[in-house]
Amino acid sequence: MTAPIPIGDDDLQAYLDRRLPSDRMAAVAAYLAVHPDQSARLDRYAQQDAMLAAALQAKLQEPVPCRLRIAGILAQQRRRRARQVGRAAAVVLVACAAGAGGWFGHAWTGGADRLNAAMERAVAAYQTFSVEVRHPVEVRAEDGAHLQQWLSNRLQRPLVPPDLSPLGYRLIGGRVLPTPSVPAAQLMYDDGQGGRLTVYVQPLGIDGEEFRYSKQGDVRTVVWAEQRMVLAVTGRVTQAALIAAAQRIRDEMERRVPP
Amino acid sequence: MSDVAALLEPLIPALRRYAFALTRDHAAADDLVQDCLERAVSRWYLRSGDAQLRPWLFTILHNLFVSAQRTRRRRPVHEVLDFMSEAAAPVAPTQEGSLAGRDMLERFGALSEDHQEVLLLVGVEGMAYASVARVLGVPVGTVMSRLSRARDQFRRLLDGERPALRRVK
Repeated sequence: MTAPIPIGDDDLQAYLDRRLPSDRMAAVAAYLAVHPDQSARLDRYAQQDAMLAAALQAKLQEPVPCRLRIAGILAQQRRRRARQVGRAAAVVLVACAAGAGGWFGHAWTGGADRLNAAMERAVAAYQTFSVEVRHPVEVRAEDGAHLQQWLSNRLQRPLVPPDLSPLGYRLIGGRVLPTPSVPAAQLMYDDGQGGRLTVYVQPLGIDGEEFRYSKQGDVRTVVWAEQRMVLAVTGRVTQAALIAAAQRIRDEMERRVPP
Repeated sequence: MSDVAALLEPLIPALRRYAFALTRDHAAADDLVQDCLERAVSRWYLRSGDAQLRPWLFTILHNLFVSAQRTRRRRPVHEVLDFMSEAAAPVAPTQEGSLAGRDMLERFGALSEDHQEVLLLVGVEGMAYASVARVLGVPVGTVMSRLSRARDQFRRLLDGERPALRRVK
């Protein structure tokens, strides 16, 4: 017969929460029978859990306000998506005009030239580095503070890598990319199955440019400009996933108080 | 599309309860839940199976709450001080067993946010430890030790101990 495994505090908590396998449950019950102080402690915890739940009970039974109805939220999102498709269509028109008739397109696209140039660099950088298995980045995300400080120094802008983990993308790290002016940064994310997404950031004096979408082969990019930076998200993912990532980055930047 | 509603709507009361317990402000709680639902709907294709829907939603809510708190802390100093003095305000001890809901929640609010979350998810939502670990983005071992400390800390607060003080005995 093997010696019994001693009872730990984790066992006591799990006993209280009824999360133990039945044999372990019995062992803890036997222990508590001869340790009234611990037994009283657990009773106390159970009592306070119940009091907390009771204090919140009314909230659980409250009628759900209208604005939290899923039907409403879905409708609102459909409207938003329709607007975005409208914008994407406008971009295609402008791009066609620029391709066909020189000056006309140019007059329309002022900042768009620089946006397009940034987009091309973002795609080129994606194609160059996302295939790297051993050296995808210069500085790995594990050196979090260093990565942030280094990129911020090189870009001469405070740069916080966006958190895309709720979308299933983990930050691997980043690198600096050459441009004709201040260097740009490429942040690389991984979906855990070898799928990669990059976020390209280039300080540039343009602002307030809406999402533009482009597709080259199976590589898709969304580019936009805000807070005097051009940003591009690039990857071999669906258009919806790309826009979700771009929206999250934009949300995060808006939430962040400008320095 | 309506299956989205059928799956999400039954979970909304619990999300509201969780958000309210963390913010102790009805409007702020519903803002948080609304953000959470909007994200859930727009990232619906990213959920990992309908059985995992509840932890997934709580994960979104947790992340939103944490980033909102972070923004709040980054604001100018006078606001941070207000916030801290509120959290550190002494709670008058009341008679055992006669804690009204509001008073109960105020004392609960004096716990650190980590402790509040683990107590709510385990003790009120009845979530499995592995799901709690997923929601909070920490290992199960951390959930266990946090839970133990949180329960003890909460007991002291309910006994009328001031949160800023260590127990002297």
